[in-house]
Amino acid sequence: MEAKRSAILAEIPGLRRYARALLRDADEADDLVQDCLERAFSRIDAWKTDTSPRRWLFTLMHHLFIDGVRARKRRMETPQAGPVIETQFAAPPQNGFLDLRDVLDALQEIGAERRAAILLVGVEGMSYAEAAGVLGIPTGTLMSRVARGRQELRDILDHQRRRRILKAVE
Amino acid sequence: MGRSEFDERDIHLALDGELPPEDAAAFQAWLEANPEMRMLRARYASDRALLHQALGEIAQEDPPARLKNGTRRSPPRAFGPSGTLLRFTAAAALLLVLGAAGGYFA
Repeated sequence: MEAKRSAILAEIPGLRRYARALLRDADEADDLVQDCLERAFSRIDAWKTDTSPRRWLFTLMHHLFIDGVRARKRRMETPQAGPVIETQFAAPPQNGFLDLRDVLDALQEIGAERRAAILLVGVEGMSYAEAAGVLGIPTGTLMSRVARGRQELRDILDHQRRRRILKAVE
Repeated sequence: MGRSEFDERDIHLALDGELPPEDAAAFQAWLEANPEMRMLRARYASDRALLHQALGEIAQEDPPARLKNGTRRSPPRAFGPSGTLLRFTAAAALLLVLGAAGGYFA
């Protein structure tokens, strides 16, 4: 049991990074990780140690994320006034005309499913088969989500760069 | 014998280490012969690096204690995304009422 627990806790850094990239807001992201860990510990007997804890945990988190996206959509259909929370980031390094916050903003503009695909493969370093398993989709679908997601990211970043350049010229 | 024809999709496969090794040399030759595709490959590689750069530090951070303990939030939130605590509290309240009613009617 202790070995299982340690294996789960060892995945926290990757889960946090993935959650932050998915949700942008640091607190919301850690809440998602927390929910994922709680679910994992409550189902720890269902996890067989010969399967990677990574794949199991990312799958649990993906389900929670999708549930959250659906709930958020429902909330948006019935608009409520709520406080706008700005995420605080220590002065981000610049990359050309973009700073790294722009990259995280750009990610949020990509559809949730394509966002998840490019993050699992491009940032978390999963194979297509592993990422497709986490998302519960065929490998071919994953491949097209990766391709379209990257294309979308490229277009959004180009747009942001153009805006920055115009601002700088002004 | 590897392939000799490639398209944009193969750029992603190559970038993600999914291109079969026997196609690697032919893919390189295809890139050399197609400057537009070479530029596209460079662009996707640089966006990928940008994502790593933007997100890399998060995995280096020391996770908050509440995550390392693997325990419930502190202080507990009744309206967490999963609603687990809310359901737990509702179930506890119901049991209490049933128990009291049982005691009353016994």
